[in-house]
Amino acid sequence: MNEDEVFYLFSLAVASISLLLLALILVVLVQYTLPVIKEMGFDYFITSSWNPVFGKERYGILPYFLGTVLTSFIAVLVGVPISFGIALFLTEYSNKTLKKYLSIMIDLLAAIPSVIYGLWGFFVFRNFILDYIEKPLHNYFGKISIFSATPTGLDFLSGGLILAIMIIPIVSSVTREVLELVPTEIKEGIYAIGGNRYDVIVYGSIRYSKNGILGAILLGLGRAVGETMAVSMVIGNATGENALPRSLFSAGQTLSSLIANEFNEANPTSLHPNALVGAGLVLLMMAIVVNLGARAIVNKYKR
Amino acid sequence: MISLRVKKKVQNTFLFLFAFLSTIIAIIPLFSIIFEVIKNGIEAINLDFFIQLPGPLGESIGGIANAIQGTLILVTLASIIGVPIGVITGIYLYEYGKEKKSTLISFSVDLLYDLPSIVVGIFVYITVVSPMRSFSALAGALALAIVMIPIIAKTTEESLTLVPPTISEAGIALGIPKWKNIIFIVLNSAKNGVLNGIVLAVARITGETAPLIMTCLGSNFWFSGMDKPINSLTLLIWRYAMQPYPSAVKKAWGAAFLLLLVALALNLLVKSGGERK
Amino acid sequence: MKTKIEIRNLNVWFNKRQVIYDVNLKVPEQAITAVIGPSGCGKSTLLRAINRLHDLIPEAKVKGEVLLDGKDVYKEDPLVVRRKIGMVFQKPVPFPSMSIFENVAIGVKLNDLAKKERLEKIVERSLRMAALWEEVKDILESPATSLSVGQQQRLTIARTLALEPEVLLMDEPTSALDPVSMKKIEELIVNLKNDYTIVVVTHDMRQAARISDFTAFMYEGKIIEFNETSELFRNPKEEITEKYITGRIS
Repeated sequence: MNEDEVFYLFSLAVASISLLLLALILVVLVQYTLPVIKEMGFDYFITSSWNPVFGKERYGILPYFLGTVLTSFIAVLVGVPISFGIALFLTEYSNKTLKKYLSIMIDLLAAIPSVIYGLWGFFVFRNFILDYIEKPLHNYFGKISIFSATPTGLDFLSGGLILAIMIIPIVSSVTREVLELVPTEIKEGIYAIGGNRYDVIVYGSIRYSKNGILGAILLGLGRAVGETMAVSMVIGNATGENALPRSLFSAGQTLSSLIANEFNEANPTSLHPNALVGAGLVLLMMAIVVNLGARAIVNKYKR
Repeated sequence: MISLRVKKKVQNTFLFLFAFLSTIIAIIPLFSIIFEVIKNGIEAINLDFFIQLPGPLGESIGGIANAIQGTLILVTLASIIGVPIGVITGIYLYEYGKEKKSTLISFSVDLLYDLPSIVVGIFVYITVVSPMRSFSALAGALALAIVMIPIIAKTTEESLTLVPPTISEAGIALGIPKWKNIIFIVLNSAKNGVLNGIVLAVARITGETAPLIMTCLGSNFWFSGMDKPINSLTLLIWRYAMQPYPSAVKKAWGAAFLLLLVALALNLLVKSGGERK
Repeated sequence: MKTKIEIRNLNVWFNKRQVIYDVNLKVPEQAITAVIGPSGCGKSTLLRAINRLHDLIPEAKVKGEVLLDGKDVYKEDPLVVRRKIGMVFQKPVPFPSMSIFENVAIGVKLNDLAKKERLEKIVERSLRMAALWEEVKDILESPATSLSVGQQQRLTIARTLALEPEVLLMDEPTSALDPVSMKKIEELIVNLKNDYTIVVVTHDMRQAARISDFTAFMYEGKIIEFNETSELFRNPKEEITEKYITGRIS
């Protein structure tokens, strides 16, 4: 066996560690979740009672699943347009210096640790949202269900909004890449028939990059789904029935924040840990599906 | 009827405002976070902050020394494990990744990259903490290493791919074996990119909290062994931030100040280093 | 003249498409042989078949023999073959993260051919042979990328010479250079033929006429004609050769 073959086998062995880890993670998580599924059946996925008390144990992760969905939805709803605006500003309205410094700033947003977002979110952002968005909305539109609960700032809305900020770096940078790939002929063609910049963007760039932009959105969604710390510090940490999303201003919980909050206190002799691991498994599945989809679209687009 | 020219002008203005305002809205949190962390954190900084243990919760004396120590130990150990595995995996993907049999590995690296880090923590809890019957620094480091590996693998592969194939060809023409060409010629040429990827991955795990919650737990004491719980800056921030004790909150801000400084400094270092190619 | 390299019945395919058809060629020792022909005719592919660079490309298939001093290179250790048959490329490719000194020494170092102490001597000798020593002797530690393009090409030649090969293959070595650098390299090549067997692929007919002793004309993957340079250019035997030389096909 010559040197190159040894090198190949060695690097293959090391690279296989990733494959091994992934397989192990899936197997271990499924195995550890089985006991609670055996006990609760499908109710585990579709009910909302959450009672770790011995003798009366009931576990249903529906509210947390909905919490993840709702906060991620808000994140994408708010974060994607802003990200798109930034990508536009960078590609259409910025000179070299501005591009450089703005890019650095957006990248710095991505560099901030999640727990610091949470800290800031708990002491600063939440009050801002409370005073300038939640209270007014509740006062004027409180009759509408989504604005109905008494706002505290620690709720689904804050969770979703802080996620929106956190997904901006990835969504804006991918969108920017995608926009920069639009061939100049397409843009020039629209200018040539009398279009203005608005027309070029809407009828040219966006139409051309539809799939790429969709991929960027999915990447942001994937990021939002998996985020834990920042959300756990501003979402209010409700459990069980109380965690069901009734209003934007009600306290809630996501799959990831649930795990972060309850894992260490869960009694190992009960099914509580298993129920939490199950939440992790569902979260894992969601993250995989969204990210696989995102990557498939972005890769197909880049070709 | 509004004239066409006016409509066109309004459209353009609207577009610009949309882009401009979005940018402002995105930048504001950055400055707000930096401002608040500095404002609230700097109050906590004094010598004691760096050298003393936190003491019981609520105590107004004490510092975060063990958290600093813990973060250093965890990150160092995780890097010792994660960096070599990540780089070699990246090399494998670069050189052999296009073959049919390596799609499974390539796929696994991508999926590992997408894993929410709290799931990694759960995994290490079940496989390491539970059998050991103890939260431990080792478990925490392992969890962080698992987070690091796919990041470094991807950045290494990207950096290697950016090296012009003419360089690889010139190396082979010198009669050296393929593996030496990959390591001493191609990887050498990609040095900067690979190092940048490593620094970014280190910065990332320094700021990670979720995988540490159920692996190393946190502690009020100095590091006392790889098989014992250990504290970290991130765990401290998370635990103290929402406590009703002002002294705890102050420590959390102080820790955040330190952590943010490190995270931003490392990222800026990479940005400036990257230009110096 | 003695034959250094004999190519026998060489055929090359890329992805099932044949690009070299039954090439037979005898390359004379210690002389400069030029390979000319229109772009796409297979000159570079032919060159790369000599030092077995196609081994690295899974899509390439090579059949036939390439005899170096009578021994088929495809039956020898490819690493040894590439040390004996050096190659200089069209685009000067100094290794970017290394100094001038390191660039010249790297081939020798990685092949474990010399101890550290001898490296300095080897580097100096190679740079002198490449006519670059005087210009860089005081800046050996500077990055190789700080040199001009012409100097970089001479650097890659020095790098190849450091391994003390017997044959030099050159794939359009001056096409990326300005006229002044080109002239310097042509002088260099002519000087080197006393110690090496050289094969130069070029799309510049006048260059071939200037520097080579023998010329092979290739067209669509086949060797159409091979002769002493002066003969080939003055009395081409084949019609296609004449058409190419007079510029009617390119």
